Amino acid sequence: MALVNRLEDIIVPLTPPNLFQFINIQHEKIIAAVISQIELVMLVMGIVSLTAIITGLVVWKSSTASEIVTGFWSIIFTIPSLAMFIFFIGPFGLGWLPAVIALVLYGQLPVVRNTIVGLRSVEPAVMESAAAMGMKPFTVLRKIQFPLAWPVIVVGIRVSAMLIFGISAIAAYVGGPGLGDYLFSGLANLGSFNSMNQTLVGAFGITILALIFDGLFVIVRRVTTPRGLRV
Amino acid sequence: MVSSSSFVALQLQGGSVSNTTQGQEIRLEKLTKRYPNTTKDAVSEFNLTIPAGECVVFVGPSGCGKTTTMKMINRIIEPTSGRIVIGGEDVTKSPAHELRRNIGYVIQQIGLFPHMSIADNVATVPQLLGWEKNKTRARVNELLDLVGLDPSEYGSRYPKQLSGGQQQRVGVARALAADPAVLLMDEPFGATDPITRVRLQKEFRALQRELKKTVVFVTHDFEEALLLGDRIAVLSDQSQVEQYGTPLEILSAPATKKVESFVGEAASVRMLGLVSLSSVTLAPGTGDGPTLQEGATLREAMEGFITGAKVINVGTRGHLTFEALQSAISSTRKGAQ
Repeated sequence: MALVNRLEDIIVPLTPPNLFQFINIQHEKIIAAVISQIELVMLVMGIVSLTAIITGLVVWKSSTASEIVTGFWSIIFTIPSLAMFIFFIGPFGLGWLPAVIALVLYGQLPVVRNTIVGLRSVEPAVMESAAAMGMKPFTVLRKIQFPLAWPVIVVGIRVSAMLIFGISAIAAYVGGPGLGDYLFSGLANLGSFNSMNQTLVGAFGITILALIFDGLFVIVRRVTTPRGLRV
Repeated sequence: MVSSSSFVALQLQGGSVSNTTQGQEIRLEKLTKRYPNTTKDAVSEFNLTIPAGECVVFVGPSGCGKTTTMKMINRIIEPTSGRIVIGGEDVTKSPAHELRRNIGYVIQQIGLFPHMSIADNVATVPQLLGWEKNKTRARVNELLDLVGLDPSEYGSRYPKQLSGGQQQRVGVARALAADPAVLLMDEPFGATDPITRVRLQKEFRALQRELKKTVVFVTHDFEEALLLGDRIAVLSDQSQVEQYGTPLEILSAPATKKVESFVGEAASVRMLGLVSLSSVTLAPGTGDGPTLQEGATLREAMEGFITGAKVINVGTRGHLTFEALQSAISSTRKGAQ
């Protein structure tokens, strides 16, 4: 990023450009950063959703197992993100890998918890009826319990996605992709030529992306919630 | 919106309802349930034979094990020991899901699937059995008609959009969908308001007389047991059978103190509602008084006497005096004893 700064110093006249000029000059790089930011979050959310939902499906029946699992992910959740990212540099080096691994760990809690809560909140009478109609246990899960728990699970994924957006900015510290770069190099060089613009692009960029994703989740939840639950 | 005789719509349609499976006998032999870490059986060596095509009501105080006993028949609760024989076949160890597809199940909480339309709810068991789409759809329409819900109006709705009484009608339709031989009902009308309850009870009684399923019906309401049961099993703690007999037998000759306390006061008055005028010997000719149909009960005749009538005419067959009513009750008592 320091290289970017130096290049800007050469190209741009002595008065620093305003934010819009800066975006205009750097739009190719910014777009690339936005795309890699989205890729990172989508990749992490994919892994998180899959693993956390499977975990929830495995443990929901036993309250002890559920408590152990949510307790474990709660502890992980309290580790400061910077510490976690730096910790993973040792085994996984710099770049995408440590970023993805750390984010996947952070994202677990909301999805696991909501999967458990969702699966448990299906009325016992509904579950009993399903079994009494002659559904096999897996059919009960597939046709009745999971569809009914789904709206709660989606909310968990949504909360998790917002968390991931926030924390992913910090992933730039370990060479992770995305807009975090702008934020950090801006902050690091505060007072220098384009630092304010960089910080703003990083901060606003992530915020706007997060809001767009949040909106998308509202739509996804609406579309995927069975009609009978919406009436 | 729903006619009071809607369950009875079946009779009007005659043979058009494809109800071919009649009830099968259920034999419960030494059926026992003990939960882990308890010292006492919840249900202890329960023996009972439920004749094919009859409605048997398990009645007893709460916590006596009547629901547990019923739920062991379709093995929603697996018995600890004992045997379940349905239609001569021992089903104690057969695959539970196959057994259950031949047993309709209606519970107080109804348990409709909230994310599925009414039609899909009713189609549950036919779909599990792999029926063709057209056959399933026809059957669903037929059953919704049977329980008094217009398929074109209600089929595409969702459970939440229906009242409690309507939901329980759907519950009954869903239970009957695959034409099972046996129907298990756990206080099915318990959560509805008193007016709807009485209506559902009467409709169900008419429906049962038509369909002749073997029904096991659980309730703590003795009046309901009298109204619906061909036979009543009065149960006490650990599902001990205190008495097993027809409503008249239980009213006229309670076998134990516990049954007596359950029957309560005024057994003769309750009996009035169980004796039909058609079974009473009448004096010939008509007298000066109101006229009742043959299908009416002594209870309605009694109502006439209390409000001042000297005689009650029964159709054109003859007339009933108060003395005749008294002797009808006492002979019924003797007959039952």
